Amino acid sequence: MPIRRPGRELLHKIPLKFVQKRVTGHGSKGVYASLNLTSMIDFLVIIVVFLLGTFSASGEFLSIQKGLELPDATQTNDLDRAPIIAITKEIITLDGKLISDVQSMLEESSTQGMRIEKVVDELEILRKNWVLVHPNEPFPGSVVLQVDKNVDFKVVKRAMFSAGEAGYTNLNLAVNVVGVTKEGAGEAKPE
Amino acid sequence: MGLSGVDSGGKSGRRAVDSEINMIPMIDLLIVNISFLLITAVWTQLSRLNVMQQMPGQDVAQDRPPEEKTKVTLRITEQGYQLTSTGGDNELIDKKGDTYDNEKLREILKKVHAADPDKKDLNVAPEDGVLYKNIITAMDVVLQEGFPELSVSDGSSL
Repeated sequence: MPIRRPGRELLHKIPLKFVQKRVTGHGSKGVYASLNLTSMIDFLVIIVVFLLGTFSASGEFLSIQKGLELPDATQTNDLDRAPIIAITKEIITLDGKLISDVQSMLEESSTQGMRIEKVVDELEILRKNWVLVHPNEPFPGSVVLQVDKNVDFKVVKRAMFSAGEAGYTNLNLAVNVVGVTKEGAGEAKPE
Repeated sequence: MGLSGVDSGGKSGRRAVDSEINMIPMIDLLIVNISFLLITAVWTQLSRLNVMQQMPGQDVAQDRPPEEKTKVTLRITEQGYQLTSTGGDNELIDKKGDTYDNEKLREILKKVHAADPDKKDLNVAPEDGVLYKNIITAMDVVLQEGFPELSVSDGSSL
């Protein structure tokens, strides 16, 4: 009787080779591994809850321009859709269109008074368009002022005055919300 | 029982109570939700302060009955705050170093509000040279103290 290496003796007589390999433990490792889904589902549920908590139904009306830092406030209301006058330290834009640069506007203020002609003209066009589209509604006269927090009031007042000249006297001053928003706070009544 | 692939229901012969829920549709739903919420997420919370503009020559208290005509104005200068009213009040609140004294303004506004709880309007009049952030801070204090009908005018022309 030849001498053999010691090893398993049982289950070596199975005629099917792939079954024999499996049962004797000589086959290759299975490629399927079970994955524990509980932790993955927990993780997904936590993300969904967090995102639902931070969800805002009012959406994003404003896109902040580069180099524009808004001031903080607590007593705020939700934003409405209205023409947007953005004032950075360098430029003034109306609905994304460049109106003027701040420096040249301050230089010409001594000759032209408070009015920024281009702002008044553009806003008057927007007002006429609004009245055409909403013939049976009173004109709200709302304009959003998106002003950098380090801008001088000297610049801001010219934009405000120009908006007022065009019939937009209801000013919505865009701010960053800090703390709890109080619904109805700062709701000025039109005169 | 010996039948491979058939659930025998255990030793007692009853149907097994444990059954596996197919998790794949649930995971699909969660992933679709996450994608939607991430796409529609608003990361910067922007809001507004609502202010009426007082044009030159226009008076807010013009159309009101005579007993309500007291007009309170908060001037913001580079030196500090000045709270005046048509009733003859005049309070100066100097800056504390480089910062405006918002606490003192809050105290005085509380007194004004206590004296006339029905008063809702206040005119904020900043001067040239005042930074926008200081104007917003002052307006925020005024709103917190119960004056929701804010108007703004040019303090340099007062």
